[in-house]
Amino acid sequence: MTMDQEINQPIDMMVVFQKGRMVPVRFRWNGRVIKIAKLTGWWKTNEGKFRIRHFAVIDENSQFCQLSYKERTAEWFLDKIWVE
Amino acid sequence: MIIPKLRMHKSDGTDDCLTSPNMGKAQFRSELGSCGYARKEPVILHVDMDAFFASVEQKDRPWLAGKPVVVGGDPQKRRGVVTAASYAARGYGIKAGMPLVTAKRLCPHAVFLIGTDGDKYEYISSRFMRIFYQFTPQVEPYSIDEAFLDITGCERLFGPPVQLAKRLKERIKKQLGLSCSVGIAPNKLLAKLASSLNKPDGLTLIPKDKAKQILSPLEVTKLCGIGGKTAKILSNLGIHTLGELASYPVEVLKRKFGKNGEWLHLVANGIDHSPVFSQFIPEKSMGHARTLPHDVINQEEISSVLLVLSGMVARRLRQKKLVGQTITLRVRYSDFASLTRSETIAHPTDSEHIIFGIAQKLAFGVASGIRRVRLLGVSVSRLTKDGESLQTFLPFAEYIDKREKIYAVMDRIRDKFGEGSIRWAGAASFI
Repeated sequence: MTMDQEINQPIDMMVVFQKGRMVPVRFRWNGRVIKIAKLTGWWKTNEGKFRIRHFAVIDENSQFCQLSYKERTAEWFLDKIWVE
Repeated sequence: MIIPKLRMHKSDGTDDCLTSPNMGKAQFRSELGSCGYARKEPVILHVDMDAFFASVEQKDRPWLAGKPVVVGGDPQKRRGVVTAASYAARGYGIKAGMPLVTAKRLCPHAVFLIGTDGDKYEYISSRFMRIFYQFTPQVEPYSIDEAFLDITGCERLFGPPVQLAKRLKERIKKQLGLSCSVGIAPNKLLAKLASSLNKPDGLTLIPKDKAKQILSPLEVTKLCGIGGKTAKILSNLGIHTLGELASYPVEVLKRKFGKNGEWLHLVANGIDHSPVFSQFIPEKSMGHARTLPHDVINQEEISSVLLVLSGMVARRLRQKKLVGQTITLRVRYSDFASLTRSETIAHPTDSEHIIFGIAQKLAFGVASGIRRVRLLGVSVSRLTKDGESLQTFLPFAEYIDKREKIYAVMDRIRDKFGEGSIRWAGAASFI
């Protein structure tokens, strides 16, 4: 069975700013460095007056991850991964 | 069902009504004429995103493209129904609104994405609505994934309707990676029908002079606004197709359906004068409902839920600077039987405690520890602008004023830190 698995853990993130956009490049989770191969989707939500930026990405091992950046605390989170 | 020859256009370019972007004025006019439109005649587009929620998830997870994908509510929160199904999943008979258990039985190998984020779909919806406004200011959002666009007079800027629709589809595909189906017609009714005739990724034109011919063989339920109940009554009259409905005596329809009888006659003939409402339409009511994580019988738990729902409604009223006078409680029991109870108060309010007090009173008669409750809803109607309220002239005005100060502080905290950042102690048990 395939499904999304909630992770909701803080991560260290490296981003580049490209054409006015923040693009996640790689992140460290559980001591592993994961390189992002493709950004497949992005959207924004609000937490009060602060914004949360969400990113759907595929890593170098073709694994789907959902990430978020909370502007209020300037923290990155790994929200979900796809498990088979 | 045989549909007479339509001008159907797939985005692969196979169409019979397309024009070159570099055509001359004379060619342009003749092109408009050939599409069945004289100049200044209304031209309405209906844009419907294809299997919207499922398509968004397939775009984010590219390996799911073409596979049966089902987006559904979280069964643990007892919202275990299909909210969207990809076209591959629909091929197995899976439809929106169907219990997830049934969907799993129909297609066990489908990918089920459960409890996905509604905010994400709302954000993406706002992005394609913004694209619509690049073509015309006359946009009427019809739901989260569809809208009507009045493009009358836009020909000079974007070319004939079919060309505009193609550009719009391309822009959505390029910027959002999503496909949509577009219907073009002289009114909203026909445009909505047109977009449904050639899904997914379709582009269908119903010219005015072909409308009757196209409608005639279609089943009555194909038209927006004719549901199962009406279709059953029509069926008893021997009416199954729109052609049969169009030729049925209007007087008999009026006797049977009242005012709606005339409407049925008009729509069956492809006539619809409703405008594209691009202006803000004032809300008539505001409400929130929740399916509870488990059936509830305890009065205290019911009160806790009602306090949360009343707070949500009141907050929205205050945000929109509105006050309401009629408070309605909706209850669904564990056996799915439902009822509503309303009470109109003397002075309009946006106070969660006044709304809660009435909701609790209404609940006392219907959710009082006898039957198990599955869903509760609170709504407020008869809305007016705040300031027209006489609330402050009420007795206990001082007490109300104190409450209002608390609401103002709570609203400020929620504005800054989010909706869940502060709640009443009485609502703490319901999270």
